[in-house]
Amino acid sequence: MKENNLMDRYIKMNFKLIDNEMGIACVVIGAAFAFLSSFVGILLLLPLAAAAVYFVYKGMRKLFYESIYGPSASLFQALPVSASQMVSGKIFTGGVLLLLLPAVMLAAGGLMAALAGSGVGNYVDSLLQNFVDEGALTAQLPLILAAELLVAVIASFKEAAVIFYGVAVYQSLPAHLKKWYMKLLVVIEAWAIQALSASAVEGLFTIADLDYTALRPLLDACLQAAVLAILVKQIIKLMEKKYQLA
Amino acid sequence: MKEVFWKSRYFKMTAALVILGMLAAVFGGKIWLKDKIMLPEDAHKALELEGNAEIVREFGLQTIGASVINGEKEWFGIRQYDTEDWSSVMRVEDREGNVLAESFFMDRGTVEQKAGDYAVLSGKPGEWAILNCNTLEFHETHLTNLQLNESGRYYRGRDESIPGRYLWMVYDTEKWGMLHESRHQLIFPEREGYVIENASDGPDRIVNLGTGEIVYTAPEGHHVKDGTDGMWLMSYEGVYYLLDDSFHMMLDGKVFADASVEDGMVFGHLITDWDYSHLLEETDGLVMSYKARASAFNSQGEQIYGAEAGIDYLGSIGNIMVLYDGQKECYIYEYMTADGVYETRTTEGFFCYMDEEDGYMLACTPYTNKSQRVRPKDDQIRLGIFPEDYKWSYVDLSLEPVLPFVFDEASLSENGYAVVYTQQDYMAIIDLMKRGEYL
Repeated sequence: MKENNLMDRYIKMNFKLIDNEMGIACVVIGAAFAFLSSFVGILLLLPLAAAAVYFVYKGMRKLFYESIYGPSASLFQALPVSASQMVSGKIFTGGVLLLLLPAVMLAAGGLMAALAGSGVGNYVDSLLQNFVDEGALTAQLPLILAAELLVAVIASFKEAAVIFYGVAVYQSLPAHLKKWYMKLLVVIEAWAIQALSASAVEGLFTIADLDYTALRPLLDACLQAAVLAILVKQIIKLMEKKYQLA
Repeated sequence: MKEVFWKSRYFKMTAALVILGMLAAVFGGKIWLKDKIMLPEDAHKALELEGNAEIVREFGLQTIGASVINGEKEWFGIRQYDTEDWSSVMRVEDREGNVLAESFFMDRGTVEQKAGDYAVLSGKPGEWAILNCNTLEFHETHLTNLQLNESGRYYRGRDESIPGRYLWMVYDTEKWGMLHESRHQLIFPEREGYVIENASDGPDRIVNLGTGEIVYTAPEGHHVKDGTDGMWLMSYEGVYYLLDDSFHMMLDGKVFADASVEDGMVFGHLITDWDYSHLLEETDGLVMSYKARASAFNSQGEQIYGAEAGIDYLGSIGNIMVLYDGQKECYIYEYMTADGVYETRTTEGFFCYMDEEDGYMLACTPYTNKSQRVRPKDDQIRLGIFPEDYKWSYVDLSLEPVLPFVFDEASLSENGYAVVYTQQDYMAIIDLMKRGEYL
């Protein structure tokens, strides 16, 4: 079997592993946003959003916990993939799931705008308006959009990596340290990495009183990519250690 | 990691999709946003535009100055960025926001005056220049307090190195060149091609700018105030009179309490009846009391308007005179029709300021102070001072507002474009002609 086929098959297998959760989460979040304009939709928003979060959680749990540390771990460990292939494959799968959710939200909103007669054009304008309200000038919007798309993609993979990193760090602890407070510390650490990396560039621009131009998302993309690279390296180290020990 | 990345079909597909998506965002965004200006939500609320004007360029909160310096062919906005050390960059942009020129020689530059194709820019103390709005070429000069005449062909300035020395220059197609120098205060009259020398220690003179010839020397005690096609406005001991092109007295010797000339007409308070019974004594002499009525004459000496007693003439531009009824305490706008007849147009709740360039006038709602309705002084508007507590907008020549009175500040319009300010630092350039009524 060729190595590239192996990597692709591994990714495909990960997709298979969480395809139910991915599908349900997308349908639920799509429904929540599609009916947001109606009163019933507003009432259902919270329960539907909670359901979507639950299914995302289930998917992530399968992807980053159960298939590595859980009951099906032995099956996945038997696969002929290296630690780096395993880590990148899982982060890719998780990132795609996290990227799909906002994409479905946007698509559902557009569909409903078209059906409701308010027009897709107005819907697109209302989306662009968010950037303008943040201080973007109209002439800069196309470049900002492109750069923000890049940020969204890289940030999704980074978020998946943060979750993976949190799980891997906790699971790598010695048995006597696996207590609730350590779990809490790891969650706080993961949350801090996510929060800092997500808001650092925007915060710096606000403090420095700089205009919202394409430079901001480009710097943001660089930061997200750097954090992603560091996390991936750390996770690979942890995985290599785990397999060596195993 | 790199090897892993490039060996996966999924990774490569994702990278390709992202690149395609980014390209689609750039080109799709450009097409989608063509001829479109989006404003922050709060600015939309503040502007409350109702379809009679279009915002053609918005400026962020960082911008501390903007001007329309040439709106006819291709307008330019000038932006300044406030930074910590107060140095700033001046930029000239087209309506899409493309920078045409920037980093001029000056800091904190402002547009002082626009005339013809030229704009006078001033920067740090002692830095003045003239910008050709078509070619963006600068004409730098060591002179200060530059002023262009109405056509933009001539300018005058003060030479700081020699106190009391003034220079004027004439522009030919190749270069600016010195034509004349004088130790007198130089005034450009409304009449094209002349300059008035006002001297404290000698007679006033009228000089032909093209040839340098002194065409008129005023008698002692008489002063040349202004000129328009067909007449010169003179003053003598507190009253005004007119000279024709041959420098003979016009209007059968009629005199005005105050007057101004414009577009071949004279507007002012015509003294109809001297009243020597009310001589008032002042420390520096006698001041005569007289009856005067707001009047307008054309250059042929025909009276085309005469107000009732008690109506004060405040000013005029083009076809509109602004008068004040002292008894009713209200402003009156007299509009000259195509037949040359003046008709009264009334305004409700706002005052007009004059902008003769493009058929739009700056107007503001009054500020109520101690139960009095107060309007900003005309001089403040001419100097670009927009006092607080007023709301500004624009009216057309039929005195109909083209926009609601929502702006905290608004510039005089230039070829239908105007800079408006709202919410403290937010500013935009609006196109008043877009979908607006233009008379």
